[in-house]
Amino acid sequence: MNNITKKVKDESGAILITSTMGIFILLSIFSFYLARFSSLETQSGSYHIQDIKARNIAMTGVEHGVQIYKITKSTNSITNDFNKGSYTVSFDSNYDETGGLLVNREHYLTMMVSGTFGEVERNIRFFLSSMPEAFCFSFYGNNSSGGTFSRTAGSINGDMFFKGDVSSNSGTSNGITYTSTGDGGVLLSSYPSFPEFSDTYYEQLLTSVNSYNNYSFYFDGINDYVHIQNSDEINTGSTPHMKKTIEAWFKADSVNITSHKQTIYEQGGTVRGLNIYIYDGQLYVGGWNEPDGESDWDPGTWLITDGTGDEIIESGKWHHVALTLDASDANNVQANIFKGYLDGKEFGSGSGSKLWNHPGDVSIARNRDTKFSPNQDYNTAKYFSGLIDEVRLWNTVRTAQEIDSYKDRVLSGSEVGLVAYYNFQDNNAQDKEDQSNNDGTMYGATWINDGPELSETDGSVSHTSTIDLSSQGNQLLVNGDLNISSTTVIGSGQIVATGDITISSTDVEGNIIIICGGDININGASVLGGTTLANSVIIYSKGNASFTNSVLYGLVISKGSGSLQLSGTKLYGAILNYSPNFSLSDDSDIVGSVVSNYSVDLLDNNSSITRSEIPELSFAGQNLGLNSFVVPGSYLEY
Amino acid sequence: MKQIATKGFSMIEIVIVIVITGVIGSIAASILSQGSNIYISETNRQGFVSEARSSFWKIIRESQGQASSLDFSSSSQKNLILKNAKGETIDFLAESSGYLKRRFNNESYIVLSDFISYPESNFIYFDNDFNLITPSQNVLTSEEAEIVHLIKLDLKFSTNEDTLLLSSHIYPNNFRMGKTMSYHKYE
Repeated sequence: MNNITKKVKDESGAILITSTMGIFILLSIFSFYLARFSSLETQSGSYHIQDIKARNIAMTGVEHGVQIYKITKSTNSITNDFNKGSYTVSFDSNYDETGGLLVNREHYLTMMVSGTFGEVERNIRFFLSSMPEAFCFSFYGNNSSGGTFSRTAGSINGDMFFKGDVSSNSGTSNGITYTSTGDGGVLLSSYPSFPEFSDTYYEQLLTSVNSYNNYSFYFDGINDYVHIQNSDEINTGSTPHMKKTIEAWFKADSVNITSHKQTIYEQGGTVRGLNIYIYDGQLYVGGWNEPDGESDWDPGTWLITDGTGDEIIESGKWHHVALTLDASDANNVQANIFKGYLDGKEFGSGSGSKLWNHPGDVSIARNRDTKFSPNQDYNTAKYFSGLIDEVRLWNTVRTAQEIDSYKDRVLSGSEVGLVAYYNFQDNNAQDKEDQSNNDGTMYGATWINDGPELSETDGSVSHTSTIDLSSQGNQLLVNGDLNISSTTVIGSGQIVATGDITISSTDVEGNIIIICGGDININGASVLGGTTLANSVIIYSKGNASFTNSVLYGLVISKGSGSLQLSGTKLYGAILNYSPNFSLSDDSDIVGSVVSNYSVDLLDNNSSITRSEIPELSFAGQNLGLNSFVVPGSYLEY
Repeated sequence: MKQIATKGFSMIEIVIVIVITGVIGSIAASILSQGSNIYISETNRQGFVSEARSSFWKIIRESQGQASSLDFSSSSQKNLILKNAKGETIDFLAESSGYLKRRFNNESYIVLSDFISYPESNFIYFDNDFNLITPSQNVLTSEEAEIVHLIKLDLKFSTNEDTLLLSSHIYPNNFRMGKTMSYHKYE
């Protein structure tokens, strides 16, 4: 016992320490267990909150992606941080989220959104259609002219819709005929609307072809002018001048100056001549040929605007002036052969005669030695203060219609009767008429990038050899008519013509947008768009559209108010039609979809419209004017 | 040689230390046990809430992806049948035995919760004007299913100690984008 007591006494410190440590270890293990349990439960509980947040972030990505695509048609990926999480939006035009092919949906693409918050990721996908919902039908008729849809020949295959009634046996041959009334088909009370089409992209291209960066000369009203030497074409020579048209655009600093006449143009001298000037708010055009032994057109005729209605000239505003002299070979004065025009409208006419040789040079913006109405003011050195442009001298009498329509167009320089043309597009006064040289000389005038709004015209352009758009900036722009025949057009790019387009016996390879400001005619076994929708063409026409014995892959937008006619033609893709007279004849087939603001006439039993693939409307991310939509039923969270 | 004195605890001291340690230990154990029981009880409650919330949220989440209202055909107040855009079928079943189950593509049911209060747990369907659609034949016919616009989810979870009633309307996202029609499908 004593030994035990002694041993305990000897080892009592160790026992105490060991006991304490044992209790401490037990408590630590228990604490750790509780802490771990607590941690797991907290993590489990917070998962749902994170899941909700991740989904909300993904939904934000959906909104972002849809808006971006709708506006820009861009399919670039989007990554964004949002509410302490992030989302990524990606697009795929060929595959779904599992990598599966989007079969038979050329115009669909998959939009995939991944939202992440903490450790939780939520994914959403759905299909976007690059074309409006109306293109889901084989034929969508908006019935703008009113009436009942009636088909007596041909066939429509696939679900169709007509906004109105459909006659019996006139609907689709293979599918459901939907109508807005239920008469002749299945009532579709909530039907897709006729697509809203924005022509901005196309019209901007047409305008860009038309646009003309105009320059003019500024004259200071003190001593600036352009001098043109005497010329047999204009004022001198042994042959009297019988037919004259003189035109110019002007923008006066002030039209109300009364201290002197502001001369815009003069030729000749005080005995014989012509001039144009402004004084005290009015525009004057004058002519005279004084000698008694000639016509005795003395003192002459000055036509004056009256300052009312169309005869008002304003300071700081571009106006167009023209005078015409329509004299015969008679030696006497004749009535009403001398006329004045302001902004394309005649403001007066009076007597006149032919002009004998009248040297004294020609000047723009100054008076050298001609005279003024009404009191035969012979004061010289009367300068014009302001801008002058497009001075045109003709030895023909331009009609009122020609004056009005051509005043807003640039001339080519080869027009019949034109003898001198000063458009001031360069910093000189060269004559741009291409047959003779009546160049002027500048005296102090300033070249200014300002001018009336004019359009440029190429006239008619023809191509019979291969056109490679890539070698010409991916564009073929014609301000006028365009004829392409028996050749090949290689894309990608745009063909734009402000006038008519005719394409005959020509292969137009894919990814080309054809924009026609007038009528379009495609014929002679032409093939447009290669052989697949992946290389589609888009045709936009503002006039009548005619397709004969040809094959097209792509989209036709017929905006004209006349006709759209397919004859012996196969179109794989889609048509958006605004033309009232729309017909298919001579075994024409549309394989894809037709959306028409009016009805359609199938004129023979071999013509058909069959629902199939339509092109993806996203050329290089361009917004081509048609809205996309989310395909119902395609939404998937995964 | 000097003898070194060896002085330690006496037996009485040791006994006293053991007794005191035992008393303190038993008190501590009692306190810890009580705390542990409270903690376990609360944790179980959290587990119950978590399970209920998880089940509830899962139904909401998967109902969001319902592809078409027609796919509600054969659904009832106790059985919600869904089909997503990939054509996969998912159905949720509330059983009188207290189980809430989920089945994917007609595979075996998996229990989501065993705390369901059967009488008060229902899947309710509304049309476009928020009128209640009552299945005429215990389950929704295709005609009834076609007009479903909105679902209301009422779930009651209960244990001996706790009751949790969760309720929410569900408007499937696909329904916001329009109704799937024949002309949307043309393969």
